[in-house]
Amino acid sequence: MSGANGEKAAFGAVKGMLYMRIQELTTTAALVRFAIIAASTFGLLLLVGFNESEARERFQGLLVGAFALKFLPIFCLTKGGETLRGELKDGTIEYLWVRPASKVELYLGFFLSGFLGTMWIVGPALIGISAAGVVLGVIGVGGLLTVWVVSVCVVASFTALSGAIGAFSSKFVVLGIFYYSFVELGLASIPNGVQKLAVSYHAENLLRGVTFGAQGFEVGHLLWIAGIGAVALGLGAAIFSQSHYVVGSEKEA
Amino acid sequence: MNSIVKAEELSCFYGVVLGLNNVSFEIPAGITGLVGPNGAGKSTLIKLVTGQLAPSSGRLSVFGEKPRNNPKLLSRIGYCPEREQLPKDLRPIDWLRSLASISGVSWKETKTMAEAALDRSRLDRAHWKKRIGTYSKGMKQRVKLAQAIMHDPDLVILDEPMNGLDPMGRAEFGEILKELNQHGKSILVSSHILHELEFLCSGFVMLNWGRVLASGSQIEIRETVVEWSDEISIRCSDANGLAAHLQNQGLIRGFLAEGDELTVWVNEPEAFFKNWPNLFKGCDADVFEVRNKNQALSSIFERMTQ
Repeated sequence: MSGANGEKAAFGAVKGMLYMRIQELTTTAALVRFAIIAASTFGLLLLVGFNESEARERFQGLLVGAFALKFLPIFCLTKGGETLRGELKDGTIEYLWVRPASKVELYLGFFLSGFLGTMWIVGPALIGISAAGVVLGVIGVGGLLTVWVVSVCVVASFTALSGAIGAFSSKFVVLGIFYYSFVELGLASIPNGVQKLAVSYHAENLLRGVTFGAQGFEVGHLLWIAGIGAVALGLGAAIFSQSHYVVGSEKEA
Repeated sequence: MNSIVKAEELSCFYGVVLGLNNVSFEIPAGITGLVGPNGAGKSTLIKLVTGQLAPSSGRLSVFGEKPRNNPKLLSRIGYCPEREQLPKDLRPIDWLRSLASISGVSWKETKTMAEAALDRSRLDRAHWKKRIGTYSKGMKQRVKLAQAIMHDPDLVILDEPMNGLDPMGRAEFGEILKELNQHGKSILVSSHILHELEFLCSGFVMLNWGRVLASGSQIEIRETVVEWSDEISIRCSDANGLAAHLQNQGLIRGFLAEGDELTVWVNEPEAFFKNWPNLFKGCDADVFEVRNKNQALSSIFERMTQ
């Protein structure tokens, strides 16, 4: 199958899968959910920080300690593999497998639509956090930019990790939590370079003191996050290309 | 025979579970029925033909090429899986556009292509704006068919497409398939609804327990049946008159006449069936149809699987 000129359109699989995901995410229910998450995050942070002399510290603690280092890893590691596994379980992946597209391209499409799906939850939460931070006057433009860039990279990296785990096993949720406990909590606390294998370590360094606007932005940490994500993405694509999956079942062939 | 699908000593196992066991057959152009009970190996064969599975041993070619990891060949195949599950939050047009894009069609062309496919599968335009999750089974089957024929493939493979359709829907679905065939498309359709395939298909591959029981045209398959039933149904203008005529010749040992339908139990079934035009000479009754009970495809298959 190809276009009128007989040539296959570039990145067609990625475009097609993203279009599908955008359609799913723009249903009324999905948009309402988006608004609720944004509003409730904003309201919650406003309540926590309102009329408090230590608003800045509390905001920093919530943003980094709770949101960036706990919510994001756990949510993304348990959600990222869902796109591929959901299609396998429903059997809708059969419609993709019989198309003249490479498995690597399909996997890239799964990753990007998984990333988009995760951002559709994380995004409104970030909007709420940002709005609350501005209203409370505890974060500046530079800080907000850092928060957004780091969060998007962290989401992409953890989604790639979860995707690779999902390509390997249907028990991606359990394995994702195990990964979080072992690598993100365990390795991150080991000094002498080992901690660099944990995305959380880099995220924590990038977001440290973000509400105070004092720290410099270390690109090296961002590259580490991107690198870990890229390795996970490559690994996931390799596993997906080489595996035989039993459609409609949670077991691998 | 100019075959579209050719299997030679083809086997496929899922670990220790048998999918297909050393089967050889050829499928020519036209509408071919893939018949067999659950677990016969129909879906395994379809997955092999669509390149979703690799053969454990043997050879399989589709249009002379191996289907596994062959995107070029996949562009000539349209596939409609058995599963009813479809993306429920999408509108059919959006889903089809996405699938066309995944196949490498430029985005501009996807809309025209998707609309044409939905028209060909006779999905009422009034339903196009609804989400697939709100569709009836029959409408979902049409959407599934549309995605299979959207790119104008040479071979359309349909796994149990009649499931969930009412008799009228099945008849209409059959018409669509015949129409596709008239436009030069070959169709491989699996089903356990044998009597409907009988009127739809020019050839069959009959499977059971991973083996091919018979393959070929209806006539070829009938010729493989050596045992004939002694029960023959005749539709004629004068059932009692014809029964008397046959009884006088000593050809039957019993009969049952109901309206224009005469059922006779003959002494020598094979000889009777092969010579019946001569045997009716001298009788005033007009004979419209003669059927041996065992000659129905469903009966043949039933006996083969016993």
